[in-house]
Amino acid sequence: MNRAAPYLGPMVSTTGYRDLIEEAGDMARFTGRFFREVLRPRYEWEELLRQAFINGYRSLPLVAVTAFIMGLVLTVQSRPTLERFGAESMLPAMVAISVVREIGPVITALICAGKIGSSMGAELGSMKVTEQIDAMEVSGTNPFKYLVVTRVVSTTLMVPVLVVLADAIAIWASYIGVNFKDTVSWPLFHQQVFDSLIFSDLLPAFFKSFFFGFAIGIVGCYKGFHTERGTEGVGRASHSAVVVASLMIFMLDLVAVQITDILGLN
Amino acid sequence: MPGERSQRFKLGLFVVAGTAVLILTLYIMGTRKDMFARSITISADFREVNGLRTGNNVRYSGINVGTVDAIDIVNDTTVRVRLNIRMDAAGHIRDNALANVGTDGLMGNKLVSIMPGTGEGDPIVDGSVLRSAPGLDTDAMMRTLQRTNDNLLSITEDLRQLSERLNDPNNLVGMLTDTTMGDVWRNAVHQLQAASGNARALTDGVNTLVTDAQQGRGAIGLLLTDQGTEEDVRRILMDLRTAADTLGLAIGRIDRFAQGLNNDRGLAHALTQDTALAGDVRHMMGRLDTTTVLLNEDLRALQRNWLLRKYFKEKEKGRR
Repeated sequence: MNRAAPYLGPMVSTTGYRDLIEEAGDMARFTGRFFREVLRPRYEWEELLRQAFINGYRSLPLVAVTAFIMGLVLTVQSRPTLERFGAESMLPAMVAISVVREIGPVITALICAGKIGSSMGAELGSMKVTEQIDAMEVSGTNPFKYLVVTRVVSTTLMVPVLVVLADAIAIWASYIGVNFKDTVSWPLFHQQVFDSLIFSDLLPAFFKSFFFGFAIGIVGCYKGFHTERGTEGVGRASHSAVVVASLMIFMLDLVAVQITDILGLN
Repeated sequence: MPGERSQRFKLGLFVVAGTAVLILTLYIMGTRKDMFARSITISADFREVNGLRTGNNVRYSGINVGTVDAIDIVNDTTVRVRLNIRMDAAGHIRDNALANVGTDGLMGNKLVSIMPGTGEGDPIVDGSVLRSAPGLDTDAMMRTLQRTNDNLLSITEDLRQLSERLNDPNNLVGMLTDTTMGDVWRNAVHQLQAASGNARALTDGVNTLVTDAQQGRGAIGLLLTDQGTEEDVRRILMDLRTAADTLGLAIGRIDRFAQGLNNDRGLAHALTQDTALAGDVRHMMGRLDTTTVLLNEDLRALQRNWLLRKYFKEKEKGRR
């Protein structure tokens, strides 16, 4: 005899939504505190430079390899489609515009979200669960200014630099990719690339990469700063920082595209 | 600390490299858009600019010489396009040059193309206005191409039908590809050759006949050239004319006779046309026949009469 299954309620409980909204509110308050602290002296220059070195310089090899492969693969994969229309000469222009406008900033930001966001979440989470942050407060050091502001400012400033270098490396890799099956001189390739690029390709992409860097830093720090439940929480903070930062990158990209379109820069 | 200094150096190098790449890129792009070159501004009026945008290239004889600075609508039929032209190129462009809106390749960006005008002209200066020529309209091209495609489709359909007809073995090509047709054609050619020979012989004969006639040889030549024959022919013709006149008179008389016959009051008309007379004659003949029979009986009776019996006996004896 079949018995009716008991009603289990909605798949996502109202508590889940409330937690989500509460976390968004906490993050907004955390961001507001960042802006208050970033303008208020004293500035932690030493720590800022150290964080810039770690988040920027040390991320360069990973970003460079990714950008190189991205430029090369994009060129090789796009060639057959353009060949079908007899438009292989458009390959440098197409790759340059794709890389500069969209692929370069987004891929670089995602790589940084994976590398920097997770390391920030794990590092600050460890400090939180081992009560080092509380100890800093007790010792009279402002942990927010020292740990959060420096990290967020460093990612905000370093990600655009990484994006510019990644764009350059991807275009250079595209030159190599074009020469796999064709013979194009560097001056001609360079001319085709710069003939196709306009300021509205480069500048909006460059400016949005500041927001990507800011999102990576603020999410990584927030997740680390709010770690709970010991070492398990550290792992959760690390992976949660990557996921939320990646999601925010895509959302910011969507907003940036809409703004660019409204301003007539597309 | 040495480690810290090394970190700072590397960080500085990293930031400088990134910034340099950015600045260099912006500089090159600016150079491409003639942002750092001395330039003059000229303009050209167009009826339509076909999607031209500020910043598009300006080419003179196919070389980039500037960019589109601004596009303004002057009135309902005129769009004024302001062009920034590099100073080094401006000296080569004359004020009688023609500007038109074109496309970089088939699918590329719009651009303003300046072509040299005919005749002499002065170099352009700041504020010069160039004449414009209608450019290549891609939409019009595509419309024409569509019409061409339709025509091509119709032509290929006709060709397909023609090809099907040609492939039919009962048609001309079938006949031409038939192997027995060779013998038929060969025979036909031989017969044509024979006919041609006959025609040539006939022509020769006619030529000979004409030549003989012209030279007075033969019956026709004699007829055409002999004086006596001419007299005879003339006389014959006179006799023929006389005979014709006589014949005309005879025909007139016959005609009158025929009219007489046709006169409904004449005997001949009654005999030939009156059906009542024919009935009367037939009736009269019937009665005559009856009368004749009665007369024979009367005569036989007279022969036996005593008054005439002697006469008939003597006549019979004399006959014996």
